[in-house]
Amino acid sequence: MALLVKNLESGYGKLKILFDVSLKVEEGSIVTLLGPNGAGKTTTLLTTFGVVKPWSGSVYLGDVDVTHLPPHKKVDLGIALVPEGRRLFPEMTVVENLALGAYVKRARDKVDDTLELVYGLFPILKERRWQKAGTLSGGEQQMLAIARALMSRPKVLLIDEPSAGLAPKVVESIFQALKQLRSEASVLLAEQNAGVALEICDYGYVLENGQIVLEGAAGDLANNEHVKKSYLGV
Amino acid sequence: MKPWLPLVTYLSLAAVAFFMPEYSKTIATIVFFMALGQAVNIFVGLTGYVDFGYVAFMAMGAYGLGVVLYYMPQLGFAALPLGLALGVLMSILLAAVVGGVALRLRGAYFAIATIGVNEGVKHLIIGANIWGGGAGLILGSRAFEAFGRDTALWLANVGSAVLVIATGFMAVVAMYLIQVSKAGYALAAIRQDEDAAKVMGINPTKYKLLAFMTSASLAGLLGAAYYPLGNLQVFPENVFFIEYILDGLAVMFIGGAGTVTGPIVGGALYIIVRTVVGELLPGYQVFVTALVLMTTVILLPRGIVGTLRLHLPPKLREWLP
Repeated sequence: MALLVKNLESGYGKLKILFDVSLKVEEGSIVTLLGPNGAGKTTTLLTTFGVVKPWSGSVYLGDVDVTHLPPHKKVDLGIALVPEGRRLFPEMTVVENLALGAYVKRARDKVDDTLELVYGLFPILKERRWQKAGTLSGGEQQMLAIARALMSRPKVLLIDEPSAGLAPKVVESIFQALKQLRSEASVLLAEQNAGVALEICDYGYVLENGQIVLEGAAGDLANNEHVKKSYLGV
Repeated sequence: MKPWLPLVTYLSLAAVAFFMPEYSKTIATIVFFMALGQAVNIFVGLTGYVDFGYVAFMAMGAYGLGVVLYYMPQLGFAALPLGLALGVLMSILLAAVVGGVALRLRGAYFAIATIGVNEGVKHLIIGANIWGGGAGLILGSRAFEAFGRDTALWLANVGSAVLVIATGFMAVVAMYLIQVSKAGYALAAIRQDEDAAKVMGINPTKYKLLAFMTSASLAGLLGAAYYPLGNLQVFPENVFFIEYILDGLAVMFIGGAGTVTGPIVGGALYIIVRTVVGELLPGYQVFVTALVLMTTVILLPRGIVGTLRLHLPPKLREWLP
């Protein structure tokens, strides 16, 4: 087990968003979290990562209880987040963004190897490496955001809506790259775009109104009537 | 980054102050603004935060040395290092308390939270009537007792100037050490996007606090050098004079926030403007400060050195940090 989330509850101020969310990500697998706008997908990732403080429940990385660790300690232990909207450092070059991704000591020692790895995954980033991140296209920025997160050598990668605002063709190529990640890290992917997500993932959860309403292997979910009607539009 | 240009500038100024005592006071007045901009820059320039209670750190430094000299002149020469150490320590402690609480807030909220600090500490000293209260500490006779008359006067004149310059020098070294270490990267990330920095595994509060405490300790040293040592007095109305943070910000912005050479250029220019205005339109200096600050921020947001660096080839840019 790479990541285990048990009975997680959290929210903002007095407003509760997550109700008893439990999920798991097996070693070397891609798990997707489907759901409509406002279902709590981002909140699930942010609470798992520690940006939003959990109210109750627990988060395990492997066997280690990391529930109450702040984000910077979680990165050190091997969780990385690709935030919604990418959040690159626009005034820094591609290389500088990647270097910051390898900020934790554990990753800094391996920075050259990891650079090779992410350039292999996204060759366009190597071409653009001296360019400022703010001047990249949307798709390239999303690739950089994923690559930057990989620079910390995570065991578990949390990715929030990588398809947002991108052309279908670009989404396709990013998701193909994610598929190759399996050997490097386990992935928990929050997506609205159920079609592409179910194509590459092994297992999926459907989150509605802050609760997991459905889960199953990717193939089963793709054939589920509720998923078909609400998310795949068939 | 090559810090030699600013370091050599400060060293030459120190040499002039030391070997030509008749110019010491003038140099101290000029370098005071450079060093102030330099110290402010380490916090504001590196983090992008603004602290309106900043002058309280200078006051802590002034009171540290002032209190030791006033109450323990029998220590003799030991009073000087002891007083300086106490002043710096008090500045750092105040920064740790204020920063530990308020640096968890973002940008504007932090600035608002710090507004009260300066006045608060000032009225605590006056109200509780500690450390001389509202009447302040007059140190002339104590300094004569501790150091002997001639040495005390030399310290007030040359010693204070050299210490003001040394503060600027140390600020350059501190800036250099921060920028070549991983703290420099962390602060650059925090400045551009604090949330994203967090996601990179950076603990923003830690690095903001580091910059804040470093900056505060230098401000404390500057306060100690200028008031108790240079003027042989510590008056609350002077050492808590809120306009100094505006001066520091003006110097930093004119020179270029986040640059190392900027405050030297900014400080020199700022003094010239203020002196000229003081001659032509006495009493309008503060008005002109505000005007200069606004003009710079609007027309030259990177400041003089910051803009110059943009147009220099990378090799030369190294030399103008």
